[in-house]
Amino acid sequence: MDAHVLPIQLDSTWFFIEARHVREVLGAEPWLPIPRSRAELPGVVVWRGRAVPLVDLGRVLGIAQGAAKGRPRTLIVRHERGVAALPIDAARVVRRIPSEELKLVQGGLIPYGTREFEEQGEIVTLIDLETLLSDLDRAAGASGDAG
Amino acid sequence: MQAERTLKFVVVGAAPEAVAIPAGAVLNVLSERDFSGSALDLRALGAASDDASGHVLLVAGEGAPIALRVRGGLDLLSARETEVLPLPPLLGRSAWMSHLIAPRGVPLLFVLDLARLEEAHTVDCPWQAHTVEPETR
Repeated sequence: MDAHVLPIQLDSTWFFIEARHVREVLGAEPWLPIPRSRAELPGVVVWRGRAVPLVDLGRVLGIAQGAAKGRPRTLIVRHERGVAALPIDAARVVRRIPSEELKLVQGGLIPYGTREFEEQGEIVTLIDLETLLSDLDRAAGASGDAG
Repeated sequence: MQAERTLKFVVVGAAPEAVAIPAGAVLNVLSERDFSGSALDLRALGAASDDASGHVLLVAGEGAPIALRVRGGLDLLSARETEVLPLPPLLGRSAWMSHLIAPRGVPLLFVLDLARLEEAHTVDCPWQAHTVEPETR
């Protein structure tokens, strides 16, 4: 079975996330910092009339510290417990990749990286967004709808 | 067609730390010098304000009114009901805020979670309660 993935860029690094999570790709959205929030959940944006947590994906993946504010795109994703907004630098069109070409990650240098895809000598890591967002949700001690 | 409801808030503190309190919950606003008793100290929210005046807001609680000591001037803000959005627990719980006010979809400021302030003496409330004495002249 093929995987449908959305390539997203954070700084100079490209990642894949499963396209089924993606609801919308927006421009830079205004967001408000939340007092006493975790660094991974620094603020809130408004999307379709609801307050949505902003997730600093760059920080979670360990590739950037507090750079969420300057990113020109905002990815709106849905997960099991709600909706989240992810500031990113760029996104490309959804790709279909044969499952056998997505290899299991060896070594696990990138948190939540589960599979890798090699293309022209470059490795792109598939991020397990569902687990990442569920972990953040649990860590924040929330119950019920997270978005 | 039914007109959209407008909600009113008292805004305390100065940007970017300002927070809103539902105006209907505010029972009284006293000058700091006229209040005697225990109050939650929210003066840090007004740290960026040029106005150093102090007030104590008495807000309705389940039991006795809750006293909030604030610094700086107070503003009144009106927002349409649809612009006052509940915060997901993931965010609101740690911030002690219940709602986000977002005029035309732009996040502006948070609404203090008054229901949680009721539990303030038992859990890790970011604002400490202390005694305010009336000023003697």
